[in-house]
Amino acid sequence: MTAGPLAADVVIVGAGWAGSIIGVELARAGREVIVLERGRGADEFPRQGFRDELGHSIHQALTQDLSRQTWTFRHHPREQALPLRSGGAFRPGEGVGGAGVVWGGQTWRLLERDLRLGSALRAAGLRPEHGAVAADWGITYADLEPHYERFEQVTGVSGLAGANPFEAPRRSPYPLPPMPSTPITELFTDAAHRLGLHPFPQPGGTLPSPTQTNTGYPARHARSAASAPSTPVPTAPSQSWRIRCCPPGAIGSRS
Amino acid sequence: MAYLSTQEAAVLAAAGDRIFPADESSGSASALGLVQFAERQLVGPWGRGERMYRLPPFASPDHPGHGWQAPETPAEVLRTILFGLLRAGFLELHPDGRDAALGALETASPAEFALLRLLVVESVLAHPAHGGNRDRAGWRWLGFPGDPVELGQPYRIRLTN
Repeated sequence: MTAGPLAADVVIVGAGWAGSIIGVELARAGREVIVLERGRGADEFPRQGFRDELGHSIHQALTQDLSRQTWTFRHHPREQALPLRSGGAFRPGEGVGGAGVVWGGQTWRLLERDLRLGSALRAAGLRPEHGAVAADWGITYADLEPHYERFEQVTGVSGLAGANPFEAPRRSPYPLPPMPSTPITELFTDAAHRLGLHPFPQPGGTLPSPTQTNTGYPARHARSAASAPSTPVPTAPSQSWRIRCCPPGAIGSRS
Repeated sequence: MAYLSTQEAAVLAAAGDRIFPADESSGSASALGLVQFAERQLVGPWGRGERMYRLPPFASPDHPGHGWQAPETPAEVLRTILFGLLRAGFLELHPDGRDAALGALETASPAEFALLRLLVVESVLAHPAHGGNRDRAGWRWLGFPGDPVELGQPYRIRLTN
C-alpha cells in the first residue's frame, strides 16, 4: 500500500471489465484515474504448473472469496433468504480483470430483432405470458454495431463472419480467425450437418493459437483468452492511470 | 501430516471401496489413492472452509437449493460421518452390510452422503498431483486421455471410444 493520500479526478471501485474499460477511457481523455481493487493484481494469477480443475474450477480458487463478502438469496418471496456459503453456478470475479479473467469468452452479438423484441412480438401477433416482459431497447442494432466492432477489435474476438446464417449483418470480419476444430467439434459438426442443421464456430474471446494475438497491444500481455489485464489495461496512458490492489488483511489498514 | 486416525482412514477406505469398487476396468478408490487425496483435501483450504462464508444466521432449509448451509467445515462434517460409520461397526460388516449401511446414511442424511460420495469421485478423477487418480487410472477408467497440453499434443487427442 502507498503511504499518504492519493489524489485523482476519478476513483473507480473494482478493476473488472467495466471498471478497467471505464478507467482506461477516462485516462485517455486526460483524467487522473485511480482504480481500487480488493483482489489480486494483474500478474498474480495463481498457477500450479498443471491445469487444476479441482482447485480452480470446482473449489473456485479464482473467484471471489466468499468468506469476506457474500450474497443472500431465496428462490421465491415466501422463502427465507440465506447466505451463499460456497460457490455454485454463480461465480463472482475478484482481482484485476474480475470474472473476465476466468470467463468462457463467449462474445455473441444480439440479433437485430433482439433490440426491438417488444415490437417484433406484437407484429407477429404474440404476447409474452406468465409475467414475462418483452420491450424495445430504444436503440437499434445499427446504433450498436460500431461499438460491437470496436469491442471485438480491442479484445481480439475470434470467429468466422457469415458462418452463422442467422447472425446480424457485420460491416467487418472478426479480427481473429475461428478456433481450430477438435475431435469433439468435428463429431458435433458432422452430426449437426446430417440433421440438416447449421453448425458454425461460435464467436469467442479466446485466441485460436498461441502465436496469434490481436494487433494493437503488446504480445507479452497476450493470454489464451481476452480479459481486461491483457487488453485494454496495458494500453492505458501510464502517467494518469493507477491501480491499487488491496490483498486480504490490508483492508482498513493504514500504511 | 496425517489428519485421519488409522481407524478413520480404514473406514474411509472401506466406504470408498463400496462407492467405487474394483472391477475389470479399474482398481478400487483406495487403490487409486482415496486416503491420500482425502487427507490433503481435509487439511487444505477447502476442508477448513477457508473461502466459505461461515458467519450466522444458520438455517436448515428443507431443500438442497441453498447449497452448503452447515456451520461446520467440510472436514468436520466428514469426521462426523466417519465416526458414525465406525460406531455402527462398519469395518465388521460384509460388503452387503456395508452397502446397506451406506444406503441408510444416504436416506437419513442425503447431504452427508453426497459429501462422502463427492470426495470419492474427486479422488478418482482429479489430477494425480492431488494424491488420487494414481497413475491416471481414474482417467483411463473414464476414457479421458488427459490434458492435451500436458501431453504435448494440443487439441489433436483422439477420443478413445
